[in-house]
Amino acid sequence: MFGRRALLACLLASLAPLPLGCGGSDDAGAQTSDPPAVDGGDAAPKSTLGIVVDANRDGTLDLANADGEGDHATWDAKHGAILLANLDDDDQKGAADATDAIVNGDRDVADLAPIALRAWPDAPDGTTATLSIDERSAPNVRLFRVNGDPASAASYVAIDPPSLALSADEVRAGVTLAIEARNFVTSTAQDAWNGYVDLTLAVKGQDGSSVGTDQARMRVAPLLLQHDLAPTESVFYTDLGFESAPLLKGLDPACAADHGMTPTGLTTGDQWAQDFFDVGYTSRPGPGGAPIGMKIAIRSAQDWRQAGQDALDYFRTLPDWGTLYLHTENDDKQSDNGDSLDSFGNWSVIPPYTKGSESFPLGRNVWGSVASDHPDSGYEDFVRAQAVQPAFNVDTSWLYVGHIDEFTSFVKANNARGWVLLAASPKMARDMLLKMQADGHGQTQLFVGKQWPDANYNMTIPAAITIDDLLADASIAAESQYVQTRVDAEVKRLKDEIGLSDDEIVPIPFLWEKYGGYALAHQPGTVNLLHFDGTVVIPDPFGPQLDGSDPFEDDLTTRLGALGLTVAFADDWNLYHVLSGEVHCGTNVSRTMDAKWWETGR
Amino acid sequence: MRTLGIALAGALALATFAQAAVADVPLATQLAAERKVHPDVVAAVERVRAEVAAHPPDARGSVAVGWRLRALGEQALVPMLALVATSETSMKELPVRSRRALLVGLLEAIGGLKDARAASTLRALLDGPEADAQVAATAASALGKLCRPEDAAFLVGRAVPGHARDRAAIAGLAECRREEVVTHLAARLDAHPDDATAVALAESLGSLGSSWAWQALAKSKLAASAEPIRTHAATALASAFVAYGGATRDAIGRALVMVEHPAARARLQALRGGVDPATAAAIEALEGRLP
Repeated sequence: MFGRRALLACLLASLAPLPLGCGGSDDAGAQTSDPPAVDGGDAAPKSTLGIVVDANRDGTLDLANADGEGDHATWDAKHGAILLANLDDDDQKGAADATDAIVNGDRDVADLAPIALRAWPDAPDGTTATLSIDERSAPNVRLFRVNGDPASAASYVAIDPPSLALSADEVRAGVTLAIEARNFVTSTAQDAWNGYVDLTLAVKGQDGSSVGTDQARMRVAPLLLQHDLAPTESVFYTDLGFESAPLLKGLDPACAADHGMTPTGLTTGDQWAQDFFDVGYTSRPGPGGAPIGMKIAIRSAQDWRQAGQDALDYFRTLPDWGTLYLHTENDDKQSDNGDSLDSFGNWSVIPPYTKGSESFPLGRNVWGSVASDHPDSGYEDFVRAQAVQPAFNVDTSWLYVGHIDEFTSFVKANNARGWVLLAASPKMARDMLLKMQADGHGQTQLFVGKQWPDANYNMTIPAAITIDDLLADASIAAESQYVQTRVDAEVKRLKDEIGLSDDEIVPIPFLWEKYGGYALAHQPGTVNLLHFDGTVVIPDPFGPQLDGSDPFEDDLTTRLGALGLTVAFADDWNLYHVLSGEVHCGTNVSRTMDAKWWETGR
Repeated sequence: MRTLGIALAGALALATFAQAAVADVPLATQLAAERKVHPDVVAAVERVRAEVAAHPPDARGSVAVGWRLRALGEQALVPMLALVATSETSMKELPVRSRRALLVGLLEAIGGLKDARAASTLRALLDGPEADAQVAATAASALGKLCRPEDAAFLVGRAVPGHARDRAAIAGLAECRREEVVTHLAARLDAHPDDATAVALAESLGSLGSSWAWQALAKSKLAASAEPIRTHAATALASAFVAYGGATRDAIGRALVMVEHPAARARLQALRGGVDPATAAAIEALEGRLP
């Protein structure tokens, strides 16, 4: 199996005059003396001067067989080469590789997409050619000429501006190039760069007349956001020493069992590991068309939040991890929720699904956003501009924290769809408590042994409350009922949009309260859970103990277990619940990047 | 940090308490007394203020402010009221995030105490220049939780078209389960205000008529008011459901589901004859969610 670096060396070596033993018999550098009929597309005779890109997405340039690369002038679900936004930091200089005009070490070679100008050995004297890049793309990409061993970064020389004039000798010899993007597509605005890079090769004879042209279209890979069904590689949390111990007591064994993972503790002072960064990835076809690329750690659009910068500083040091931070200046939201909606707990991905003729094989980005209460407008537009995971919005303006993960989760399930939507259900919680009360357990307490914070933020105020007292709290009752109507409305919108059936929506019971005019979870918000590979780590509900067990815990174990999930609980009370967050808010994950986004047709 | 470092006592010395008197004793005088009786509590309030000023909290951190103040109990009422009463000076230069977190936390804690001594300070805030809508609404809610006739009357008097505190007062009235409150809010809704106001009215009526809340109150002395309040709320909301469309109708529908009263169904059936097909369909869909 090729490593990424070896792959690129072979890929580029395939452009050299002699085969270098990298497989693919048609990769040999055949040079011919065919006439220069370079009019592009499928009509172009093979082995004449022309642009070669990995249009057939098999991870190699098929120099000898132009037809093997298919139609390279169009970009659609079946054709078209891809370049990466080169945002990792292979030479560890503290900035993205795309920020400078060099190839940042041999490892960085793998992040460039190869291009070749096929040789025309019999080009007449006086023949010239120019390779140019369309005006919008030119500032967004960097073109390198490869002079020598393509596996060595030292062979790469930037062409700035990205336009190349070739002499007759160069036309005869052919040219090896590589390209990187300096950024993702960042906007849906009509005048913004759309990510399609059009390369044009124009060949002229000695008299200056046109001999022919060739065109190739490439596309910068989008940033893909992870959906919850993708296999998990790493789990993260913020390491706050002894304060993290209760969470880890539940999280550690859940990660270890069947998954062999140890959660990675991030060093920062912000326990909301879901919120201050997100993990995405960007990819292009590698060997056999399998995706290769890099992970992207994204900092939330919250300039005041040091933890976001701490996260980027950490992830930038990891191999093949890029970083991204978009913050729209002068976009300070004046809504009550402020920029809480920029926290990534408010950003989720609906898992892959098909509804009728519409298919979303990479899922859909979904986040809380309404006109009066929305995240950073620049980041929202950035996400929409990625295009391959079409956006859907829900209304989270009724929540104090304002995050979609306060009332929904998507988890794997052993049903036909392969997943279900979990939705907060205060109604179910209330019904359960009413039944316990009716069964004579009204004086049994919830939250036994737990405390609320005192004025010094020491956990000293007993939280225990009887079922009777909780059910007699009119404020909690009214707010819980209000929340049920809001959840019902948002779940209906998701249901209609996705085509979910009722049995694909699983109610998760907990009551709510009002604070500052908005809704907060009163009982631990058990829908705010961490899911990885069929395991769920749920906030310990600290419900009443009846006959030695907690009915809330039992209910979740039974119903989620029936979906094929392995259920674990973690005590998140002190560090998360009392601050209006739960397990999901305090954790994060990195998942695999196996999806071939280029096949989506978007 | 000079401004942020202003001590509570210093701020109080600058403040005018003409409108913030409690039981005819100036708040400053009461605070001075509290300093002698509960110096630790006064210091604790001051400490919370200083910490929030120095470290502007995010949304979650702001909830902790409320927890910390709430934990101080009724002994903290006077120092908390003093801080609210002097907010125009003592919090003038705080970051928006700190100021909001602190005031919302104070007002949540004050509201939770349901202590009549808070009324004059809350009224003064609501009749003062406070520009933060969430702060004003939380103050109105704290007053609504007192829910004496005079508190209801104060809020009703401001929940009128064109009043600067209309929206805050509507939110505050959601906490006050009195018949004159529901009568006022229902009349406002019947007058077909703009959509945003209609949504606010519907949400307050939904909360006032909440079937779950009234079941929680079944053994309280308020229980006798349940039926007239819920009937009135349901009827007004049902009429409004027909009168409005779009997202406003959706919000009214959610409120009707909260009230969950047969009067709504009766009203909807009475109105059904003269409505357009879309409204008829909306009524039919809603009726599936009503008793």
